[in-house]
Amino acid sequence: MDSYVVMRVGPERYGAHVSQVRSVERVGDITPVPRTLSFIKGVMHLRGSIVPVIDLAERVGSRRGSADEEDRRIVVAEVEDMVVGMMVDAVEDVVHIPPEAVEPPPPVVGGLDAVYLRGVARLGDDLLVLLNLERVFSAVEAEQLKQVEKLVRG
Amino acid sequence: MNAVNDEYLEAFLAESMEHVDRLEEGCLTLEREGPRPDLLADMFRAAHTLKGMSATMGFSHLAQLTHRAEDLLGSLREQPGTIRERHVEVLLLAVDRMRARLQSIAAAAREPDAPDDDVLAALAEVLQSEEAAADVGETGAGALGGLASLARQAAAEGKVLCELRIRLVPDCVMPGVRLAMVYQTLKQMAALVAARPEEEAVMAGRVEATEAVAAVIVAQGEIDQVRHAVLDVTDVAACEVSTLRPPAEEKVGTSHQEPQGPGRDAAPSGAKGARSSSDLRREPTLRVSARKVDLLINTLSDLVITKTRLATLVSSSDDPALREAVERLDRLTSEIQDGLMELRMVPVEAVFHRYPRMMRDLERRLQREFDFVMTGLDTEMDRVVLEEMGEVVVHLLRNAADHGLEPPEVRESCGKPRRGTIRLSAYASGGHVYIEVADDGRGIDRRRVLDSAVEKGLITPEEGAEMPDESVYALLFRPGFSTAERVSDISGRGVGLDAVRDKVEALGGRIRVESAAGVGTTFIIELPLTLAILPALLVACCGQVFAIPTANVEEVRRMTEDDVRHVQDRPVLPDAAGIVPIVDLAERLGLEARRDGYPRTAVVCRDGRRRLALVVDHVLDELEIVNKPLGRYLQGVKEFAGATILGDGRVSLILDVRSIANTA
Repeated sequence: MDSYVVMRVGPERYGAHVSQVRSVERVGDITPVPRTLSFIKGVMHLRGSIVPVIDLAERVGSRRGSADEEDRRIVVAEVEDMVVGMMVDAVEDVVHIPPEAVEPPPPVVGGLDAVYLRGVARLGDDLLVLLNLERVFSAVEAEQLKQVEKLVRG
Repeated sequence: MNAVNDEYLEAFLAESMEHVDRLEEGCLTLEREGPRPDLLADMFRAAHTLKGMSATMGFSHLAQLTHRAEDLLGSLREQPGTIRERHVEVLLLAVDRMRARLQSIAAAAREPDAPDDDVLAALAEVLQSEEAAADVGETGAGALGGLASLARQAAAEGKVLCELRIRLVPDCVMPGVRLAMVYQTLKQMAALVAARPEEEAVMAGRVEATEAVAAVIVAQGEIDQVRHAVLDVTDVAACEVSTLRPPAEEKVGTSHQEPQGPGRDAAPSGAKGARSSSDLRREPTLRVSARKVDLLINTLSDLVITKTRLATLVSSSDDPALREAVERLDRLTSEIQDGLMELRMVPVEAVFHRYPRMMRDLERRLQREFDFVMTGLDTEMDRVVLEEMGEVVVHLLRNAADHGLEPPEVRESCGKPRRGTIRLSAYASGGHVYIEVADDGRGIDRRRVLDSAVEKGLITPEEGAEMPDESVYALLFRPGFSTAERVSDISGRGVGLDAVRDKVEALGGRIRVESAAGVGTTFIIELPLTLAILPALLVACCGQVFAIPTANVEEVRRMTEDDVRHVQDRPVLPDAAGIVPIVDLAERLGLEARRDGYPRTAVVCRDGRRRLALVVDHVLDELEIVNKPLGRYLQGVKEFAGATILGDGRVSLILDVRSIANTA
């Protein structure tokens, strides 16, 4: 049985595997980092270390809901030595999903390529989109490098 | 693997690595100084402990590998006189494999499945020849056995008995024929008295082996010619010679053996560094993972921020007891801070201990002859700085061996000792740590450096003639200078030296070089004691606060419109030292449209030789900041070297002046 943190982004629900989630934080001061991709909102201070924050809605191409500011959270995940905070509209729950209940992802979900997904699981009437955070984060790295190269070359 | 096992694994890895290091160090000492009973016993113990630990942890391949190494060491311990170059080679091979295995275990928490058949076979092979030798008795006779009387006979004739171990290249097509040619050569040049495979079988074409051992009797001093003749035979990869001395008849016990070094000229060298290092390791220590210390430092900086906030709140209070308590808290925090920073310091030994092996291999590969001496191994440095410096030092050491030192023949013809010396030293002085790499080679040829710089258009001939030596040597670190292949051939310097300088300066350090023709060259690297805390200037720009390391700041200027000139439409700021390009920070960082109007605040920054004037809104403060990495996720961001947490808990980005200057 795998456990997932359920994150709400606009109308969608995304799941992050609990083994990859370090903590859930309230949204505090975020310092913008110039010259980065637009979905990178900046860096924040978390118990003495610097953590980059991305806007998950923007990252996965989803609409930002009319979320209550009070509900918004930053889900801090750690994947392969990378610590990244994901800003979401709300964190709803932790759910247990047996591996056999996870279906392979359809090619495109909410603008997100299938490679970024672990799979899809039913959650009551809703779909829970399970994120493959390794891919979500590492692809960013690649894109960033591309962008930096573009900047350098003009 | 659960958490408890992880803890064990960490301890196992750390301890095992230490034993592997000890084995390697032992091999090198063995090679330099010949066998000492205590040395072999120490190596045997290291292998034994490793075997036991890896078996307990269930790493069976590693256990098997160390077991075989232990067997060989056990046997050598009994028969130190029989040690050959080949033994050390094979042991080092095994050491490399053990290290590789430990590294894979560290990465994946399990060991690779493939067994080390090649290394095991090599160990078994030398062990066998070892045992064969042991059968002959403690005479120092080699693998053929029964040669003691022949050795005596040779000595009586004023000749020597030599054993040759001949190896053909592994992919040799007709090994039988090649061996026959080798034997033929041996017979022509010396008296072939014994061989394995046997002469008759080889000559009859019944042998397909790629290795052979032969014993010949030759006149004193002629064995080198024989060896060269053998090496000239097609497909011969190696030919090791050892001289078999007749047994000392009056000797009864076996306690003292003539240290019959494995190399033909195993001169003692550079042992000082190695010895002090093992002393160092025996000091009682607490093994703590670096990660834990870093976590603690993170928590500490949080504490410092909270304390600052508290102090701000309390400053308006008039309760003396409260104020006193906060003051005390302040003192205690900075004491903890100092203590923790010290924990991050590690002796340079932690990285340097790999170098003797590397230099040994380099000496062989480059066919140079030199002693490698390390001093100041207990000098402490920030762990991060030290790790980053590892590569740089490797580069400089290679440079010294490859280009700094002359080939042995050239040295002799210049009246210098045949063996050169390469010295690596570390020491601390006045808030800095120094690392020096020195050779006693030919030195830097000023003329050639200048010629090449003129040719590359870096300077004019007139400029060159006026330049003091120091500036000439500094040319070597210029980018573009080093890429010229010809330069590295002529001057022997410059290969990637700009990369070396970049690295050193990125760590907040400096590098310079001293040289004297025919006497040698010394590279001197000066580094800050720690990277973690640095003084910085806080500047405001478009509502954001950025930090600029004070090390990069030359001055802060009030800039009026009259100060600004234009060169090719680009704004520059002339001053006494030259012309400084002006960069609007807001524009450079893509923050907002540039502001009009003067005067403006310009922070004149320097990175190496390059300067630039950064236009900011205003300067806020100068203070000590804790440098925190942005982490892997943002490693593509080049404009910022890191971030720091300000007193109010907000994050401020630290500008990377180098990168901004590069793209300005």
